[in-house]
Amino acid sequence: MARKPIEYVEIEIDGQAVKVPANQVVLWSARELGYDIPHFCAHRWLVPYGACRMCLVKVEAGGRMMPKLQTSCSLMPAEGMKIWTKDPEVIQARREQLEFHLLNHPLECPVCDKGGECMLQDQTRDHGMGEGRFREQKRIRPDASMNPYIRLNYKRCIHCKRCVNYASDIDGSYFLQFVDRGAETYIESFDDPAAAPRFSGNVIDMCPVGALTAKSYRFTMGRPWEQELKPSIGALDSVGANIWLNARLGDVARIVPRDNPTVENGMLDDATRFGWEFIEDPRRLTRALVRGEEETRVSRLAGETEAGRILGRIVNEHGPGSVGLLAGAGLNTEEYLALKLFAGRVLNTSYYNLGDCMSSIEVPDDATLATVGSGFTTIEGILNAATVLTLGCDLFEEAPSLGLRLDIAARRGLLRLLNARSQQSGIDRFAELSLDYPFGGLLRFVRGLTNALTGQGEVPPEVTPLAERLRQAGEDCAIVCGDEVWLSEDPPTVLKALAALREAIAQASPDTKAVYLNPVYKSVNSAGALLVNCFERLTDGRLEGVTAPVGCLGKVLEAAAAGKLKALVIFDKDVLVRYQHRDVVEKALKNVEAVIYCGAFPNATSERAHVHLPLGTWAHREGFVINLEWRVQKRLVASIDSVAPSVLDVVNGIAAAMGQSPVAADLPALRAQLARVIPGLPTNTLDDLPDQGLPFSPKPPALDRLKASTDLPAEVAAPDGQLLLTPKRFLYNDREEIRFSRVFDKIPKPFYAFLNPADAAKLGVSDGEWIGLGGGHELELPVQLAAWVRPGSVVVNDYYLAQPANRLAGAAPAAVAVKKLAGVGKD
Amino acid sequence: MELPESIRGFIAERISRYPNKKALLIPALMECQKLFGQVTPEAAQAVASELDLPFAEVQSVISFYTMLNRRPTGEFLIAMCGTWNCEHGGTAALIEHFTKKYGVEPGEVTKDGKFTLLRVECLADCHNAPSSQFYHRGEDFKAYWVNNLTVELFDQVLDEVAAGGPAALRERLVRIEDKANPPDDRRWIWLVTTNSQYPAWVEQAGGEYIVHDAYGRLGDLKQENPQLFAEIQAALKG
Amino acid sequence: MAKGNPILQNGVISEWITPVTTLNNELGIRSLADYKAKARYIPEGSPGGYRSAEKVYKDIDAETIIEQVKAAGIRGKGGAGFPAGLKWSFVPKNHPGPKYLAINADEGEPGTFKDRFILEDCPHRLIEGAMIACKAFGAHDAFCYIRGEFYDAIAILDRAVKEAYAAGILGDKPFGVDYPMHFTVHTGAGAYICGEETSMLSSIMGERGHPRMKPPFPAVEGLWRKPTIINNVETIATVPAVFDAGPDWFTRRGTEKSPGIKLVSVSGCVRNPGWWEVEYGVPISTIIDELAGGLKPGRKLKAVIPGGSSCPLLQPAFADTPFDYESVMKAGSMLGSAAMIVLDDTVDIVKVMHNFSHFYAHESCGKCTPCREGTRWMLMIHERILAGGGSPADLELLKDIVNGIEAKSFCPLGDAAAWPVKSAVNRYAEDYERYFKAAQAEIESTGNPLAEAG
Repeated sequence: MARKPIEYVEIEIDGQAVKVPANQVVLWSARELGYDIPHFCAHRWLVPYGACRMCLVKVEAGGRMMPKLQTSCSLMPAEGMKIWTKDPEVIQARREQLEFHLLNHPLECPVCDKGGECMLQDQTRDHGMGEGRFREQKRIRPDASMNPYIRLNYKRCIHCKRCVNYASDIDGSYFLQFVDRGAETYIESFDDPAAAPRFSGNVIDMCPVGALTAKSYRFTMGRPWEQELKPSIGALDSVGANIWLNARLGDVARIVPRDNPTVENGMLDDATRFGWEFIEDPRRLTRALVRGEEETRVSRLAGETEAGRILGRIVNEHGPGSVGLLAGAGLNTEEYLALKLFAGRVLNTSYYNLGDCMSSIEVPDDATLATVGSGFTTIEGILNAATVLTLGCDLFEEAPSLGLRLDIAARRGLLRLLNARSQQSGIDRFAELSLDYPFGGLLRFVRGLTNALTGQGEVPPEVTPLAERLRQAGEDCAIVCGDEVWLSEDPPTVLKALAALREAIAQASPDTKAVYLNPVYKSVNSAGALLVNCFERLTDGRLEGVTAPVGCLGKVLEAAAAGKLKALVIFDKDVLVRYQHRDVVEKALKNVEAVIYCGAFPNATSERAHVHLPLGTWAHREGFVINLEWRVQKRLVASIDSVAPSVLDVVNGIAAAMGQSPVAADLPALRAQLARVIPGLPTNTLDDLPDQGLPFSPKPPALDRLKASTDLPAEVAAPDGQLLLTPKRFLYNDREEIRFSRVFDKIPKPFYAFLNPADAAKLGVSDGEWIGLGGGHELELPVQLAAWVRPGSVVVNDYYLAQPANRLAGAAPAAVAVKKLAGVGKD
Repeated sequence: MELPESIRGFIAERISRYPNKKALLIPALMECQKLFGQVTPEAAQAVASELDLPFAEVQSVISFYTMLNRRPTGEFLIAMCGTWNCEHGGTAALIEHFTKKYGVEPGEVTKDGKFTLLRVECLADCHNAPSSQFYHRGEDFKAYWVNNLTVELFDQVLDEVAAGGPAALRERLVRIEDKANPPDDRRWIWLVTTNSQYPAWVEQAGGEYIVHDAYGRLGDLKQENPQLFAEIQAALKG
Repeated sequence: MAKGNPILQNGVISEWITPVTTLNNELGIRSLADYKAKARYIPEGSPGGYRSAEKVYKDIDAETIIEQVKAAGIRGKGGAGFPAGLKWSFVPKNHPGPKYLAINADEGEPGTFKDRFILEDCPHRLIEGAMIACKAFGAHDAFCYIRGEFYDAIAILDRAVKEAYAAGILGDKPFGVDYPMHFTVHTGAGAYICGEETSMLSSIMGERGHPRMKPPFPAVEGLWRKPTIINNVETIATVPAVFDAGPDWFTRRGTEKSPGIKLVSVSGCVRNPGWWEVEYGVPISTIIDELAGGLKPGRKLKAVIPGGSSCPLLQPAFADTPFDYESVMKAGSMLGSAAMIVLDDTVDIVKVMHNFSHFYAHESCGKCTPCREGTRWMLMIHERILAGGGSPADLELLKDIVNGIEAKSFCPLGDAAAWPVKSAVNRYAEDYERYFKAAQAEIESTGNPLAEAG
């Protein structure tokens, strides 16, 4: 539904006539206008609670003075209403309520983490009495751990209930509860030690005092006003959550949300929030590894020199197109241009692939680019749509902030949520309809659904209830698709099918004015990587000395496997584990003469590299990234002491070692080049880029009509006795941000073979027993029974280094034999 | 733990009266309290599963309500009112007597497992202060009023219950006074028992005193509570 | 004025100040058979229970029901005294439903004991009243929330409900009329706060008994966000008589603004504590002396709490105040739940306040800061005073705490905690001062600087 225009009413605050939105309580409107009305329990995510009594104001409504002071957090404005925020009665009331709040509060500001950003401190200074009169014994309870991230100092709790209300009304985890009654009430944690918390950290921000604090932030980092704050972006998914990177005296202090109401709205997932220790983990490479006969550590310059020497020899010997370049999707957009220039001008090759979503052989065709480059909407657009259809994704794992916001909107009945996915997902709980299909059956489902709407072609019966609803999709409809697209055999085919579905809904639903398609990309800058990788066809730009890539990831790897490429240069991509066809990568890595890897931490791929060059983490390298709504957002860096080169540093170093001129002088120069070929991107410094980001529109090739196939691929089924192997993207996996941040050591990671209890019973396996997957037990994993697993499937973590799924995954879908492992006891 | 059949039946009987299952949470928990004298985490989990509620929420609710005990209690749970009328009537002395007699504090279980005493707030029987209720847990749960207590009477009741079970919680005589402001010339008494206080008039017929309670609440004492009948006879004689 | 207690004498009600009316003579009528055969709505009326409900269901429309109850001036009997008919008229008429009646049988106000006897001794009267009330505003479901301690009442009412269903009085076609009516007994579990109307709704819905924000008011959004009327047990039990004896039976009794009759509980330092039904307007002293047997010999009146522990203490000068809402308010207190607690000159007001503070601190739900922190603070101050550590500054402190809670707490429990203490420090300061003098004397005699008060 399009956003309704805001209606305003005229009221008086402290004698001043003001216009305020009719649908917002007076507290927020007054504060927005600069009136300092104190509050604790009110929070913009929560419904008014009215418990702290700090926001009391004097009110005249309908010409009558209300006999009691009213809480402005629950007061809706009415035309002609009069509010007084500085009346002596109001000021006295605030003093009294603050006195009550401070009654049992320990006076330990000097040792409290919240000092300097504490609402109680601020409001006591501005509205308090100045001296306490409580001489009795204060209430005491010992500190407690709420979950692996959060510590409770109960004595400081002022019982505002923000955290408990969050746990029930926002993230639905119920992990924090009020226990007991009256003044004996305290917060207890019901954290399930077997389940990994996902959105718990938000309560730390919400807590107005230092009762709920982050264990990883405690004491060490000085006061908030002493810290350096740099705007950056959550690095673990493509939502582009706005964050502040806090640092102090050269060390990272913490990550907190930067409150962009249009992107993440201040809601971070715990992996993004707490995943910063890896930035300074001692296992991060600050020196290069060179593997000749032995492995030696050399300076990074020496490493770049060695890499340059090797690549120089290969390019000289074998000529153009003898080196392949791959890059993951976590780099900055400028860095992708640097890599593209490096590939074209220095390595003289068109065998390169930047990014992670298009993993097939050929470059995406025009239709695919048109699908991803147009017809999308913003996150706000998704949340304000009348109907949201999620296909092939588990948003809580893949794009948590978006998933949470969607869940809340669905719970509140603000939109209609329809899901189709292979396994049950957390976002099902408030969906109107959730359908499943066997993993690998996404294309069949999408085409079937399109056929149902257009009336052409075969219609599998299971899509009917969904098609019925989509025929009345409301004013607008947003389609969100995710990881199952990228895991399919040919993502462009699925994307084109989705584009056809988009058109079909628009045709079939008479009232619908717009249908959007937003793929949830895999990484923080998948869109940026795709943009630069294919800019020749996504914009009108041309760059000298650079050719379009000859193919996609698959093409490069096949060429390497076939011996056509003599060297592979890989930037920040664990391709050995990530690429579905492991055998191809194995062959490629074996057949090339040299593998040069550049990344911050060791992984499966880097272990095979002849030279591993250090790379800074995202916290060390400035640049801008593009999220799933094609918003351009900056990532600035704080002063963190260490050796942490950027991609530009590395490619320039290698170029120099090869006797070539630098790819670009500096980042501004890169940006200038980039902006010339892709108008709309920042041109020089990032200072000009607004803090809330800049919407951007690629210009994909225009398409008159999308000729989409109506043929349904065969139904997916596993032969008797076998299960469909389903690699799944989980929030917690072996990504370096998580593997090397010690706070996650206590989190139970989903490194299991998840089985539906019915299948487990048939196999005679119970929770914790080990099974072997595949004829040769290529994967051996402990079992966890999970009702969300679709019967007939076995779900495994798609990025678990000890048991990589692609040992088996191959062409999706793959059915595997499953056998209980004898002699291996319960985990 | 499996939820007992009686409680599942209790829920099933009532579920159609409410728009959702959550509304039956407190009644279901009270059934557990009546049956077991407490609500253990296992019972709470069983109720949570039966009503499709998060365990965390159920525990939070249990902890709010005074009658749901999270710790074990004795076979007889004594709720002794301590609000003003009863305190003025002598609750403190009763509680002290109990703690001295059994060597346990309020909230604890006596060594023989028979009693737990809890000081509670107003039981809404202020005219019979000091007032208490004895709860006898189990499938045949029953609550007994034991009011107008004195230390001697309390002691006597405790001993008789410990020896003879709930039958000892019958209504028994506390005292008989002359009624203030008698409405006519008949012999009016103010009859105080462990249940209530009754205005009554007495007539003698044969060797017996027949007590006519003004509101007809006492019933046929000779049949229903011969011990109380005998107590009244003795008191009226003496 | 005739003397004596209202008594059944050979089945005939003897004359009294007010005739024993709608309830007292129905004691012990539990079974449906007895209720139909013997129950009378007014003492001079003819026996036959459920006659009113049948008449209402068959012949009287909703508008008229409300009109009649308004005309009879029935005011809420749980404490607020809000006109029942007017409350019922707040329910939106065009609401598709369902609508609910929630009957408050949580009877937790210290000093109050009346509702339980209606439930135990006249359960069908309550069911009948609920049926009529529900038709008045279009509800088909009544829930009776009974505090958990009333185990017998719950069982008795449950049995009565089953009888009524079996007899076709409750169910899909009460008296053959196509107006389904359902009644459900719902238990509480030991929380005084659940007597507050929105907390009761929370408790019925299976939550912690926290009060809910108003607006929206329960009549518009109550149980499960549907229109809900909350009435006290006694209020509902009074309704059937309106349709048998007519509204003017009520307006002929009581006062102009407080017409009709009220159950009053009398406890404390009286010889014959108990509960009676009286006309509004009877002087408090008459109730104490004539009904409750007066003070014990040799004692003098010190204070009367007219309506339960939440009400300000009235000094002996006000003992003749007529017992109606307006007069008691004018005298400086409230009629509340008509739970009269009589205090004589052997009573220490500070101990009373200590006891009440303990009650409110224990029963505070903990949601809002002034009540949660303030009740505990008041309790601790009283404990300190009783232990010999008080001083005159504590009186000012208590007054400030009361100001911080009164009219600023989320729900009336805060006010209820504040008012008795406010009246005690203002009207019975000398009881406190006795403690302060003793404390000061102790300090002076021991010379212990650590015991310094103030």
